[in-house]
Amino acid sequence: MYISKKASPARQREAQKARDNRAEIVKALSIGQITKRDLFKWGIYTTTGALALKNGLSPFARSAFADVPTGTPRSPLGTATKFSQPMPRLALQTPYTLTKNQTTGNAVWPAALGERDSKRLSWHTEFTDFNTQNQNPPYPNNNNPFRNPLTARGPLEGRPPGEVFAHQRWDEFFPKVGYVMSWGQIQAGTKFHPGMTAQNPNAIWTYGPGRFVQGRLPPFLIKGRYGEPILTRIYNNTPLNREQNGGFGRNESQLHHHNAHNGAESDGAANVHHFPGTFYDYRWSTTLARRDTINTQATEPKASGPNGSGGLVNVKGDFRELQGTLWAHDHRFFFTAENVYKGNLGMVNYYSGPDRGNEELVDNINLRLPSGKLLDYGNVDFDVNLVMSDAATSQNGQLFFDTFTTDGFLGDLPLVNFAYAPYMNVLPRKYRFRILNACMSRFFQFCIASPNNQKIDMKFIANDGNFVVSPITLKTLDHQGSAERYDIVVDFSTFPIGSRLKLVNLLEMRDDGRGPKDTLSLGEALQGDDDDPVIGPMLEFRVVGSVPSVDMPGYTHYSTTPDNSKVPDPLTVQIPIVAPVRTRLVEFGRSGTGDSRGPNGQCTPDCPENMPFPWTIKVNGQDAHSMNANRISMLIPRPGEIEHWTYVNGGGGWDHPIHLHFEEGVTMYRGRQTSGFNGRDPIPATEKLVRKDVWRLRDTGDRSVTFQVQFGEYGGSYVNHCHNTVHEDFAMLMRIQLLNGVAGSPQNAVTPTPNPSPDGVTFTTPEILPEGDPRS
Amino acid sequence: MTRISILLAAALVLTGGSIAHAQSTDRSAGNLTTAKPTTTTSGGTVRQKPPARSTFEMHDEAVQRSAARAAKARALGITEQWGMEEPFTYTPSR
Repeated sequence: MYISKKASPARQREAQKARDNRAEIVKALSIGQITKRDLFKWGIYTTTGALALKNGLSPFARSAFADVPTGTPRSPLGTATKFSQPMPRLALQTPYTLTKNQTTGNAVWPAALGERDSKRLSWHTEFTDFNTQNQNPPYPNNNNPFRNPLTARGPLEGRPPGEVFAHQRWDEFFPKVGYVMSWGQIQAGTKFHPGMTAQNPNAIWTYGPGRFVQGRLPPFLIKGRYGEPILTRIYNNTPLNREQNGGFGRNESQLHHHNAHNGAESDGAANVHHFPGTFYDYRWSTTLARRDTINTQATEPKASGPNGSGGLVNVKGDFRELQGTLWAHDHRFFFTAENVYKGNLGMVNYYSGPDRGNEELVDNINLRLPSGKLLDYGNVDFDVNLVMSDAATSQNGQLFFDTFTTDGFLGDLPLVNFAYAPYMNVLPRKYRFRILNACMSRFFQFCIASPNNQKIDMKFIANDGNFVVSPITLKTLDHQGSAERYDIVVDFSTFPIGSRLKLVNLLEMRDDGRGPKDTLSLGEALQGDDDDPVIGPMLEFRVVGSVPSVDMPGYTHYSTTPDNSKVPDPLTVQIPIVAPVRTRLVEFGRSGTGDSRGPNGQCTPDCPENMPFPWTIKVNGQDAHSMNANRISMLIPRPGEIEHWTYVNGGGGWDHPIHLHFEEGVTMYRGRQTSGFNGRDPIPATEKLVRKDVWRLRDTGDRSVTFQVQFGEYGGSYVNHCHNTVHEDFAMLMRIQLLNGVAGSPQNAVTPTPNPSPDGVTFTTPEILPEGDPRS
Repeated sequence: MTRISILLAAALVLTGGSIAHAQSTDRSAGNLTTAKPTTTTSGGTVRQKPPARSTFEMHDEAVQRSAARAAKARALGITEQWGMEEPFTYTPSR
């Protein structure tokens, strides 16, 4: 899609003009000069919501100067070149200790912070009660002490009121540590590379530590550990005026902790976005799945978290369900792609007895994976988070998004931790890399090239944050779709100091962003691709004799220090596949138009006027539906029941990375079932019987995948969707209702749908699709 | 004349349309209710409850239909849609 640097000046101008025209339309839409209805009327939009193939407008329209598509102009690089800046490590956040008020049961923050307590019930409850008791209308409510401090309108906390959005199992998972962060405009001077233009405040909205502070890059990193529940308070510090968005992005957010085992009220995807001036308290419980049925006395030492002084704190649950590499990102329905791309994301590492983040501590539980030794747990000196993404900028260097795309969006700037193609100094020893694909639509396929351009071995140890049973030695990783996480261990010990290796993306995408096209040879990829600058090397590793410690600033690691880290076999124990209580079929495909709008013409939640909904989902072969937060497409009637789900790609050349919230599934087979729990299509060792939360629905073979899943511990409203976030925003998403709350709680039944507004949250009664409801 | 007005004027010429009075306001959704959630059909009419469990045959047919849609989309050079595989005959694979 990106035109070659060698293209004629006329073609360059033509592509730029088309993009400028699209940008003008986006701007006119965002400030209300025109509506999408106008675009339909004028023939700029097709009935399926795609941009019409008009020269001077669409990048896919035929060029006036050659028999090729118009294309899109390259993002200007300024003086930036690849591998000329060091890779930033993710911004580690410092936790605060929370204490429990024995009278109120609240979590109390350190007094110096000036934060209100965190509570089981939302502060919205007090806001609503005050209005009720004082006969105040919801707006204006200037004398309500629980109002939004910036707007004096609506509650100060975005979490909905009452028991339905109370933190489930609050006392059982009382938060011991907390973080206060704000989501807001990027601080001045932030660049993807020192040679590139600084981003304007509204070009990027990301997180910064503190209340009502600016956002920062690189993205955040939070270290969690089993047995230490976390309270994450997020302030929305984006502009009050939604038109001040730099051309894209919505100033409303719900932060999804992908794919942590949390109550629906803290999943960040229960239709609970909140508004500028408000905060939302997410309780990240560190619950280990199956705690109500397995290891209920917490006697299994592998089910544990580090205690900070060399020992362990046992927790209840199944150690085979331990999670490691996680991330968190915006999930504002209909605007997720824009907001995540704009910087609303970070990573979360969970540490446990086996996955300790300490490579030297010997206790027969700790796997001693490459990490470091200076801290009791959570060393990251040799355990590195890599947020891999692509981006594009306008010709003035500001982050750019083409909101016209309904298929997929591809950027032309390769970013690692939001830095343009950086380098990283490494010692000649083993490193663990936690690779996250944080793109909207791009799939990656990585290998590591040696100094003489040969692929080197990697050990694959975890998929989507879940250990594989035995490490798998590979030279090339599988395709990696949006939101998938691959943990690998790379041994640089055979390379002399001064060597340079590269992390190389081999995967050529289709120009329209629909999915992968071809895997290039290493030689081809290293030459680069004029049409797609994100093919080829994205990160350079430089083998050096010493590196400063991240874990203990001021300390230096040297190449002469022995590497005592291990990559043991096995890493975990297989969860067996068993006969299910029930099976389900979910198909992801296209309709002419979806049914996200109700009879009143409105979406739930609100969506752009005349937004098209080409993507729809079928359950058990019944009618296709697009996303509506007030519609339950599947219902899980009780905890502990083992189900087998089959996802089928509706066909048509797409690859869809489908994400299931809250629970991982054990991947059984691809293609139709043959004998036992096997299928007709090949399945890579990195997937077979491996727990995952994102499955790529490929455009090959039977286009299907089947997995085993078991829900428990929490109830409420969750979702299942395509993580090509462009597809997700155009409504390829469905609601799942878990009736798994503790007995007697609201989450043990169908919960009403919250409808957030600046004035507060109201509730509606959801529709339930009968094909998704197995209750008799 | 701004670039956008030029562009839109050109589009109007192409389409013969007219510029409607434009508004761009997002509307909040939903009404407050107190009724208990109920199971309903999407069309609002009573019908037999569809299966809430799938079978191998359902998977088999879905895969076959997907293949037929993909083949037709490729052959015609168009984007696939549910139902475009019709007329379609399901042939059980076992």
